[in-house]
Amino acid sequence: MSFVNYNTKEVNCKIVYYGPGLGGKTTNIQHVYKKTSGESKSDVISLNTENERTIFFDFLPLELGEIRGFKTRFHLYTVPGQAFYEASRKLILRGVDGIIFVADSQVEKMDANIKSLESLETDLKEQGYDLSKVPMVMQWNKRDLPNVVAVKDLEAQLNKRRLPSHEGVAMNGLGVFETLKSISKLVLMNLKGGL
Amino acid sequence: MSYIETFKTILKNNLTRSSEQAISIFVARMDGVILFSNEKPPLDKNKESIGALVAGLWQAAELSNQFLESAQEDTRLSFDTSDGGIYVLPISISNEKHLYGAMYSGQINPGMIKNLIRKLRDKSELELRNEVSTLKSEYLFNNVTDEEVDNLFSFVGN
Ligand SMILES: Nc1nc2c(ncn2[C@@H]2O[C@H](COP(=O)(O)OP(=O)(O)OP(=O)(O)O)[C@@H](O)[C@H]2O)c(=O)[nH]1
Ligand SMILES: [Mg+2]
Repeated sequence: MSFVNYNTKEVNCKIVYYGPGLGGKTTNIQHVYKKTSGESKSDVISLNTENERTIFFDFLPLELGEIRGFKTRFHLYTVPGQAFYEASRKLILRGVDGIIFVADSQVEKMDANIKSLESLETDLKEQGYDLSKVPMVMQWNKRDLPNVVAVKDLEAQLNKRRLPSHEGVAMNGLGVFETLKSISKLVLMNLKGGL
Repeated sequence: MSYIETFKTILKNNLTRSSEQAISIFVARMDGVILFSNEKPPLDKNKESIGALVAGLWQAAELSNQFLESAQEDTRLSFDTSDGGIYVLPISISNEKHLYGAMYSGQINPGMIKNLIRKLRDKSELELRNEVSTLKSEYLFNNVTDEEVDNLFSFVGN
């Protein structure tokens, strides 16, 4: 849950990258890290296996600029996409303010995308979220590969809610900030006061 | 008095100069957002990461614990050696569960340190029990523009 501190004039929001295994969630966060500068820059925390599959989460605290006098801080998390880590995914969704769904555009990954989206919806409902109210954007990742599903088909199959969507090649940074800005806007507009 | 002042005052009144140097204290929400820290190393530089990790650790431990026949109520989390480590306790602030955590090293008697931390937690909890949270339900910003979002991200290098 977002946190607005009126004493220090700060807002804190939690953004989660969700999606099927190997879809590019960790790659998104790594790109954000690479492109951020400043002395207060923190490292990415990655809890992963030896071959770099996420096992619990990646975490990157991001100090942004100010908006209307409030210092803004985003906590970026990725979930582990592999089916096995269902319990961890649920934990990371707790208190989420905004979701970036990273879909893998490859034809053979459509089933995995659909399953992942379904489990996201189940998890959110279980935690009492109203699906229609959770800020969310879609990223069609891996557009550089030859065997990709056409964007209009991705939209038809995965984006029935007609959420904002962005094409991405996270590996080269394409679409990464575009997607992050898009969710940031939705999250900030959805922000309510705090402690 | 703000809750930050409350934590500070309690530390000031209950820690000796040497324990004040040796113990790093933080209070975090369950989602890992740090509400307070005494800014002692390593919290001076890494408190956000520590908050996220410890909150994740706590929640994972709590869930695992639920598989026990008789799930324990008054749980605490420690990850330590005979002279240092991390010690985390739940603390209720305005009726919501938070985490009261400490990191310490080079202690001859860590049992005593843990006792002290429990005492600090208890006192803070008592003070803040009646703190009413002024949760506001109206939107903070209406109509955020693309330009404002671009400004937020102006630090991004190319
Ligand atoms: N061709 C291509 N490869 C990509 C792209 N984005 C990520 N990858 C690669 O896909 C692989 C998996 O990326 P990760 O970011 O680790 O995937 P993940 O979603 O975090 O996976 P889990 O942690 O298992 O959930 C890596 O080898 C990346 O380099 C992309 O846009 N194009
Ligand atoms: Mg990953």
